[in-house]
Amino acid sequence: MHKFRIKFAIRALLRNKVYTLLNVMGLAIGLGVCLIIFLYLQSELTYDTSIAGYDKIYRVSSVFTVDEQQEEYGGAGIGLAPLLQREFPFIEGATRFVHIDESVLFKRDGIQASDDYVALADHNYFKVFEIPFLAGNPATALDEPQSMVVTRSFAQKYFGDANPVGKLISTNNYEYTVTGLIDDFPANTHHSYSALILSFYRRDKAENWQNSLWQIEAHTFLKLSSAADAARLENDFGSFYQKYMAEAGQGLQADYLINLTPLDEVHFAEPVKFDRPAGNKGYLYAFGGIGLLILVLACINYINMATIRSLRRVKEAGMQKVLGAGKREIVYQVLIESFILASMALLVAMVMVELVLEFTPLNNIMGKDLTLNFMHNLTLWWLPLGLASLIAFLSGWFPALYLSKVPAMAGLKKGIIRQKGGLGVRKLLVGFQFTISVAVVITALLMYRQMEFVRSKDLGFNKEDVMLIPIRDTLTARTISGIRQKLAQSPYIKASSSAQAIPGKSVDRIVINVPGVKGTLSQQVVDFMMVGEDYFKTMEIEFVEGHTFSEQDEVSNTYPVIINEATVRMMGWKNPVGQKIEIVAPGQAENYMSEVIGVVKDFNAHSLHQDIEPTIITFQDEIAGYLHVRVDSKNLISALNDVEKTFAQLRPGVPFQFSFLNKDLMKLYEEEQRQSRLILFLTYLAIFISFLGLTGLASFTTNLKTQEVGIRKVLGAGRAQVVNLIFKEMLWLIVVSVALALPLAYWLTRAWLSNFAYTTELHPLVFVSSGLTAILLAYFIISYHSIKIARIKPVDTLKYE
Amino acid sequence: MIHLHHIVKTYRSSSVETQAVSEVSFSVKRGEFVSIMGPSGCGKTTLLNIIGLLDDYDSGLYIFDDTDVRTLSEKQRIKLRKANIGFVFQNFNLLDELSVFENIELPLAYQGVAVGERRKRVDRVLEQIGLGHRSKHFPYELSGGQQQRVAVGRAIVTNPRLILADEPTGNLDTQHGNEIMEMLSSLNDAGSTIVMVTHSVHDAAYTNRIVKLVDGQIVSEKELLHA
Repeated sequence: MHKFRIKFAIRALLRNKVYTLLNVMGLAIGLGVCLIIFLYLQSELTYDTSIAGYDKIYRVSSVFTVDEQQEEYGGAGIGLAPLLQREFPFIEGATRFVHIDESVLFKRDGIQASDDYVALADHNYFKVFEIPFLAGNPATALDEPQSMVVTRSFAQKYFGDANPVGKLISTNNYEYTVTGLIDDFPANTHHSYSALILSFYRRDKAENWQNSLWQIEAHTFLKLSSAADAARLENDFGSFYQKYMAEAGQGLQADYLINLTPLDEVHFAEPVKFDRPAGNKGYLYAFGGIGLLILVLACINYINMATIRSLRRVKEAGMQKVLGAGKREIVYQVLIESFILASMALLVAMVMVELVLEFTPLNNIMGKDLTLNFMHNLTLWWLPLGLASLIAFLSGWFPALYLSKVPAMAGLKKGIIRQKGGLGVRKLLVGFQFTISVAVVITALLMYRQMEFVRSKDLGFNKEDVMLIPIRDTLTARTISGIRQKLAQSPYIKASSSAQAIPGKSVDRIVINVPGVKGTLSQQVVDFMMVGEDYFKTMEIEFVEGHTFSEQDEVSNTYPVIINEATVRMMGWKNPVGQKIEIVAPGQAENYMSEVIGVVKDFNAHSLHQDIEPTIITFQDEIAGYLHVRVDSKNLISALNDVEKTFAQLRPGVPFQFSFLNKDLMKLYEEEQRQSRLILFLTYLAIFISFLGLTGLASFTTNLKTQEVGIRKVLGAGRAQVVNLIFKEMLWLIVVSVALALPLAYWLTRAWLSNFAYTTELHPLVFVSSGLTAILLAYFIISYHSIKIARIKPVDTLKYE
Repeated sequence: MIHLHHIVKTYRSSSVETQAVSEVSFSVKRGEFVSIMGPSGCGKTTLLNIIGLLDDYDSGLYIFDDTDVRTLSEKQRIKLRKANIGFVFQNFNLLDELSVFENIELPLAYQGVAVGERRKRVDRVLEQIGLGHRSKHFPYELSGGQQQRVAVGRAIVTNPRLILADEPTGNLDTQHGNEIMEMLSSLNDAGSTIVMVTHSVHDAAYTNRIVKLVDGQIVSEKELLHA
């Protein structure tokens, strides 16, 4: 009997190829999106758990309290790890670790290539991180100075297939010995690098740790045998503070605490400073929710289309009953069809997911390395199958019950049997689809507008046409004025300068004393920048008052500083030029006294997620950081050539690297760009799916009305009236859906925009126009179906008996 | 075999009550070939559906083979129908997704007959209706007459004791109609009991007895004597 049913089901599906195709595609898309989102969630939720012994590793973060303001950093002073281990013997291991966020040039046997993911660690590193070695010995790998452990892909790049252990590789200044080979890290870890260089070696010999506790310099990881030990350490830290830090703390008027975060929780911990970008649980819920939504939208279509089809099959079901089929047989029949369809959809979904992950930039956009790996990901065996079965069952159940209730009599009547097939429910479902789709579309539009806003916002400086060249070593830094002199001769270069930091990246913070109302002093943390000659000219930052740094200022006793308007507002100065600012210098005998020589207009030294802070700028030429070159955009290539030539002349052998400021700035919004791209991708899907849904409902409604339309036409109704008849039935549904979608979109966008300090306006026009477009689109779909039925000759619809 | 006593069937809409069958009493003996005639809307089909256990009746007594149908549950009724009654319809009602062979096989499958046995019986029926060479074809590939022969084959494959035919020649031309009537006739000769609804006096002439129905009531019964 089952063979019979399966044969019957397959033939039925094949006979309705369009129906089957639409159904399979719709469901496959839903399943595919769900699968990808599942892989994404799985990757996020297992963050850092691929690292051996992760459950015993804790990251130390530093909490500073200055004048009742708390700031948390993901790192600590380099003295902390050895001192903690000395004080608290129950700590099994402690290590310091630093990512080098710039590229490093390595040379070997004529191969010269830079690598972006180099890290530094102390000799205890592999005692805390028990990463398995493919070659070499973890116990001794970091014993000798100039040791380096590399990953498989790093080794491939510089050593080919040969075993790199024991071989030499050099940078500009040093030569290293490879002492170990480890596997590449997966994408879902904070803790990844392509090469690890032993560091802190010389300083480890010095052992004056007490002076290295207040400056955040490295990540510190501890290995503890239990969570209880972590709590104990946090509690007992007070005694450590008293012993090693209290004295300096008093001088700084600051307090210091540590926080321990289990390694696998770092990703979702509250974001802190001095840390890699963290994950966001909110996004996880959002993506999970979107995945389920898309699946629900797809299932709604599936149910609707199956029901529409069952309407055409009422007679068939009745006939089967006449021939002896019971309710159960009919239910089986429909469910088997449903299962076959779902299996086909699952197969298509798997292929789609594989293709999407393999051949589209989706993985890149998400910053992941997702694959359908059935060998290592056992969940992939049961989850998709379970999901597909569940969908087959749930969405087959409704039409199955509907058909099984058809009386045997139905088989004897001629023409379409009209049963009340829950049109109300179906309308509700399609309305829901429509609401979601319209909301998603509006949200995507507004996200896009915000990204445009970010791209085009006036930041207070001109971010276009500024070339940045990293200056990494002091030797190059000392040639800056020489380089700038040569550059000034090029007709394609408008201005150049140097600065220790660039906006949005590594802008420092310092503490200043601010005079209070009654002569009291309070401390304030402000932004701090060190810039070279012509900085304001190069960046096109405007002055409100005073002037830029000049040679006269340098000979005076006070440090000349330039401040921004935010600082003036904070200080409450009427005449800022000439005012004094006291900069707190921790560990120094005296604070610096500086004098304001100029005020510049506010500019965004950070990403647009943050407000403009009070900023103090001092003069410091020839410092490692970035050379800023304003080029003539019309002669970009010539300008580039001139800069490169100048570098080759003055710093031969140093790799020439550059980037553009506007592009670097957009990197600050990578996460948001990623989200807006993902949302856009989902928008296409949602539109497609609800288009299917609306088509289904329109054809369903017209089907039901075929006879009515025939009668109306006999009585003299024109085509327009017929179209209106159908449209009236669905108009309220569309309008209500859109009306519900607008506040939903508003709420979604507001939540997303709350990450930004500067946002585009949520213009009502966007909402109104999107809503109207959606209604118009729906109108066309419905019209198409209505016209189809309006064209039918009335005699054809009235043929009864 | 069939005894109907004062059977009443009323269709109700919100304001109107229509008695499709009112106080009908008649019997069919084993081996009879009875035709029910009457104008459109006289209740012929309703009566046939009641006899075929496809429809309920409001009052009266219907005894099928010594069983009071009213005392049966839905399941028992389906079982009784599966085992004893075969149907032939005006518009054939073959299932498009199934081949000729499978259409005829379906009632046996619902009865739970084993595959080997099914094959044997379907082959026998195919020969009987003269469509052995068409067994793999699908209904839409056949002429109307051939489709109706498949429908007859499907009705008789379970060896039902009663065949109900609702205007079996209604959609056929005279020649194919005659073929079907000959077929029913020979089934009757072989012992099948047949009740047929028809408009056609010509078709009714093949039967043993004509029951005339007007407005839900029997107005006459006429025995036909065949030479």
